Amino acid sequence: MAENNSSSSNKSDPSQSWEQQNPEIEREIGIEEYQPKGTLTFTLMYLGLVVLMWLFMYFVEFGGNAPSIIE
Amino acid sequence: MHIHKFERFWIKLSFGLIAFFIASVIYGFVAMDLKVIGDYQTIDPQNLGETEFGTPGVRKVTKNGQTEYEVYVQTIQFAFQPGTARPITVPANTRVTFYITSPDVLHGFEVAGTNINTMSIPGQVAKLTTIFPESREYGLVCNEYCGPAHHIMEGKIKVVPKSEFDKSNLVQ
Amino acid sequence: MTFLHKFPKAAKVSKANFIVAFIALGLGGFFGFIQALHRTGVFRGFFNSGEYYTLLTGHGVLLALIFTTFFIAGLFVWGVTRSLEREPENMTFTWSWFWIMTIGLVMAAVAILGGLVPNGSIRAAVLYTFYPPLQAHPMFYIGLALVLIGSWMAGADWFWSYRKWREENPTDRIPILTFMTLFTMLMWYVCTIGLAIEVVGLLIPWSLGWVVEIEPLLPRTLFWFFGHAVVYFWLLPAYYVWYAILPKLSGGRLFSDSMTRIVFIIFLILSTPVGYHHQYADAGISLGFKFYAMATTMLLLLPSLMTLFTVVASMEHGARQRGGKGYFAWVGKLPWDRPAFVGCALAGIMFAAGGFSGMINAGMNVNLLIHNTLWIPGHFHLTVGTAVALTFMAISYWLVPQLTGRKLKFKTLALIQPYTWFLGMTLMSNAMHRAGLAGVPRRTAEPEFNTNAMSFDPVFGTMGEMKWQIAIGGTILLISLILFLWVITTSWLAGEKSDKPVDDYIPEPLSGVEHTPAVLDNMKLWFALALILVLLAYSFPLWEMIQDGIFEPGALPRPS
Ligand code: HEM
Ligand SMILES: [Cu+2]
Ligand SMILES: [Cu+2]
Repeated sequence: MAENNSSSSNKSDPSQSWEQQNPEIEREIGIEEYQPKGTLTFTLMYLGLVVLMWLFMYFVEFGGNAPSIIE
Repeated sequence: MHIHKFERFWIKLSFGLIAFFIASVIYGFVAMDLKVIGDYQTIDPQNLGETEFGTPGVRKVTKNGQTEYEVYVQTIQFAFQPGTARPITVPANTRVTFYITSPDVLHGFEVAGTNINTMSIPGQVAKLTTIFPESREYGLVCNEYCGPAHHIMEGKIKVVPKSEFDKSNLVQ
Repeated sequence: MTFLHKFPKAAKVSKANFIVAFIALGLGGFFGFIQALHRTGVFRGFFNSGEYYTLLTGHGVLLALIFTTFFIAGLFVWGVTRSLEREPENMTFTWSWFWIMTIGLVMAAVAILGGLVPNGSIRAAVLYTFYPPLQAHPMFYIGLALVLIGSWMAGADWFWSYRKWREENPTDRIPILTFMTLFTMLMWYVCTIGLAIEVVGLLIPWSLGWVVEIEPLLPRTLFWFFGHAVVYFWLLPAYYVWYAILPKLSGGRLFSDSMTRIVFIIFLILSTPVGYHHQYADAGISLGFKFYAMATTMLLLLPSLMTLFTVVASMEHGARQRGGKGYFAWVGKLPWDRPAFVGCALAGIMFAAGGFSGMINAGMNVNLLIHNTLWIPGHFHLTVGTAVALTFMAISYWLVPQLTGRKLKFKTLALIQPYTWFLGMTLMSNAMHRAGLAGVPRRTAEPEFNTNAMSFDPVFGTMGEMKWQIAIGGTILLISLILFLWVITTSWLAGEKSDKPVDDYIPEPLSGVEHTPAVLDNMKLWFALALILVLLAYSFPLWEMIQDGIFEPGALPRPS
């Protein structure tokens, strides 16, 4: 629960990456290997939700809320 | 520059979303008559008495051979004139044009539960035209803070069937 | 060794700014709680309805203007010092901006709170937007002007450090923490032109009685010249935390350095010319400019959507390094038991929701559905009130130990705090949005109809249930705020001293600065482009407004 996990930049061996020094990290994932597929899934879901809610707010709530300013 | 292929795809979709929003606003504006007010005219807020706002109320006008109504409303601290002491009464299914301004501070003019919502700014006349589709009463709310008794500023719009509209209360 | 030991002078400056920020947060939040009870009618015994507006002015000014500005100053002092590895150049200058801002804040606060003194002559119940012709005591405007001048000097201080650093490191790329600071401040310089002209050029002379009349539309327009960009001035420091620190707190690395820089550049360029989107319902602004503002506003969705991707991808990277798998399951591997991480992550989730209501606000015509209704506070309590405020609170759990050299106390309370804020805000904000859709106005002590036997008809839910969600939500928020202040105060004063109270190391991004095009660091280019877009948006309408005289058509001042 502590904010400070035991890794540290200055006490340790500089040839080791931050990930290698950090006991909570199971596996270092490099840029070539990393595929943010979870992120893409979430952002696509968000986009879909936003479009649906916009359609509802714009065409049902707003469009059906006459009287409106017509000129 | 490294941009991951998923991120490239996401950026393209984002542009699409932006275009979709702008397109739906334009579509509503042009095809569904969902407009906002624009620039109309300035006015001297200290001399409203010398203009139509001096006798606020509902007037009958004829435009293109049709009967229409014009409503001049002054929003003052802390009332709509007309609207608060007596309701603004207009007929349904008829074009009604509101002219709204203020002699003192900023106010709001919101017909609750509708899309009629505008600012009333001293020195500027807000002009908007609408058609009330049904006969009923609407609450009128000042939705911009206008001073210590802002919360008592409210009014009413009464929309009556065209046939029952009493023309004897019109302003000449 | 942590920040305090390496840079003791800068640490002191940051701490001073944080102290002011947290006092403002406590007081402003308390007013918010009273408002939530008062306007729902649950309890109106604290103050009468006329005094409500004094509290509301205090709430808006203390939270949206003071808490944010001071916290941001403290955060940027930390980031610039740390990333350039140098203390401020001249401590007299640094302390002078802090004191100028503080004196200004005290003046504004005294003017506002004067409104609670019966028959007092000092009043400033003009809300944080202070639209004339409602007039506040001159001390209010002068105080705000001092805060503004102090913030300009603070920005100059950071540019000064950067210049000195640049002389010694002519070929290095701008470190990312400094880059984000400088671009935020460039945006601040562009947008505060409007505020400075309004306050110093119009309102101070007018409140002192040197001119009597004022044209209401001109200062309102100048206010909104500033008023949208200011929301990015609040938000970008939260993004700064999400880009620079949150990935590490999640156990990973920032996904891309170049994307981060591009996002900040787009904000610099587009933040100011959008101001008319707060004036869609105004007379006196032509449809063409309203449309231009809408198009730019919608384009501004782009950097926030990019941020969504980059930040979530950085968190996902952390979760996968911690052993996360699958499309959704990785979320469970994030450190949901660490207060700093939890606060930032929950703030981000709320921002996604606030983003949607912001899209509706931006739609030029659909805006009228919710303009000046309670929907608007519903929206910005998700954005500034949570995305920004909760991020600032959460990152304090990580920063304050570095600045004081003391470990955090009451970690369980610290962990509960962001969850309670999230809960309270979910209740309050959803009900505010729905009440706004029913037409309930914002900024009012008594939103109900009094004399007309009318009522609001909600589309979703009932008025009674919304009222209770707002009141209970506001109460939970107050509790969360007290937890925060308790944890921070006790840790600050009595936390266990340590050389390394937190792990303050920040790893390099996955796609590092070596892949970032050099043109992105060209500040002159982007600043010039920003100025051009502002000129396109504002020169013609402002010129038109002052054609008939700067103070014409003139209205007389009214007491607030
Ligand atoms: C304890 C937590 C909070 C509670 C209970 C609360 C409650 C409220 C309520 C009920 C209103 C609406 C008042 C009205 O329109 O009549 C309001 C307005 C506002 N709140 Fe909060 N709020 C809280 C925290 C915050 C935070 C953290 C911020 C920003 C950093 C913030 C910024 C604002 C602003 C700018 C307004 C608008 C003021 C105006 O219309 O002039 N609030 N708040
Ligand atoms: Cu009012
Ligand atoms: Cu805005």
